[in-house]
Amino acid sequence: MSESNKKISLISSEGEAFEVSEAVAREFEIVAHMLEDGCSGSSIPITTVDSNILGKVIEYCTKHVEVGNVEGNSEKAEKDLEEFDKRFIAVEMNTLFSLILAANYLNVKGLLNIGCQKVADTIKDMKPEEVRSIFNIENDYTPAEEEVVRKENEWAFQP
Amino acid sequence: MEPTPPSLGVRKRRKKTISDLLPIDLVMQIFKRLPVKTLARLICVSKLCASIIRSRDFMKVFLTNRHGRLFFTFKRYKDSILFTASLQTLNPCEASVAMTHPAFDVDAKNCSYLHGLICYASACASRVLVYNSSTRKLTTLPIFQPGTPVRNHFLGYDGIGGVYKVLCRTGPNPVFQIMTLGDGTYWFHRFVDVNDAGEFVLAPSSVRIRHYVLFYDPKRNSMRKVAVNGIKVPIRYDSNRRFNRPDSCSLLHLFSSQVESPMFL
Repeated sequence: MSESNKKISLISSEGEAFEVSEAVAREFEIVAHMLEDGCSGSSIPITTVDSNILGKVIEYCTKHVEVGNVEGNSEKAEKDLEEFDKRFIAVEMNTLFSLILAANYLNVKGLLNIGCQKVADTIKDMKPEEVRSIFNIENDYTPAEEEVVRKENEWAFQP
Repeated sequence: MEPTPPSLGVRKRRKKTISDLLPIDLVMQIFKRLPVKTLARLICVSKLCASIIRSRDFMKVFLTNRHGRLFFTFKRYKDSILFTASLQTLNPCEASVAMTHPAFDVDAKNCSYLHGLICYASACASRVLVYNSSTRKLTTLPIFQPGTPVRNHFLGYDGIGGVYKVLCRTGPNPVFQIMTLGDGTYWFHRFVDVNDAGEFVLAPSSVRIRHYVLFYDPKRNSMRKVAVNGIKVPIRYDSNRRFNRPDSCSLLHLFSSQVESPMFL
């Protein structure tokens, strides 16, 4: 039990410290590996994630650790967690991309999963023009090339 | 400053391609969750998107963790109709037909399938066709010996190369050919022998710039490719052609596991 009381500081790219319990920090697989490798320091720098995003990732992990510890009525807890995930991921696209990058770097599989799924759900029924605009991608096809590639994939534009 | 952390690989130069936003492997993680219909539209977004989706790496990523679909074909007069059914997630004991495909002439005895691709020989069995049930597109594979019936064929996925291959046997004297789907190149091999090690030995039917032989080990399901150097192909000087090209030499026989013989003739 002593393990879960231990506090660990995660330092964002701006140098801000976030104090979390070890159980929460272990949700970051990258941190879990560090701890297993005998890195016993109480503060761990997360140099590629800024405070805003790191705060969010910690919020996500804290919630998931809390729910994991609740005993009984697991069905309700699971539903709550699903609702939480839904709300958590309902952010604007740039933040979502930052969360995905951070989840990938910190190796928080659950968050990476729901983040990628959210982007996939968003673009699932979009037209190419809409996808270009949300990803901010330049269309590098010439009009003639685009016509050819659209013709090849014509079936995908039908309802 | 933007809310996105610049240190996380979001490069500061003009955001123009999808890889500026997320690394390619994460783009693949997103794309693999999409149905093929969406992917076909994404191909129209940009050249980079198209090349990610068409890449062999993406093929490998996409094929992991897919929910299986159910196919069945019915024969009606000469034509078969194919139905694709999807298993319902709410009630795993029920499936509903998701798609009805146009009639095509599947030969019941001569059909192989994998991942929603259906490979079948046409009714007269002189052609092999591959049908993609997602894109509803059909392609005819070039046959090494036109006019000879296809005895059997087998559609397989090469997980190492990330490509689909069709092994096809034609003719009364069996000729095997392996065709790689998608990149437009097809390898023709004339099967001649099984060597001492129990491997199938396959060689291309004609010698062009490079010649190679494939050894396929059915036990370990492994293939090795051996380049054969030093085969000189005579150049044909042809006054009608602007360029003198190496004559295409066709292979007649392949003899495997040959040793020296002390039989003085």
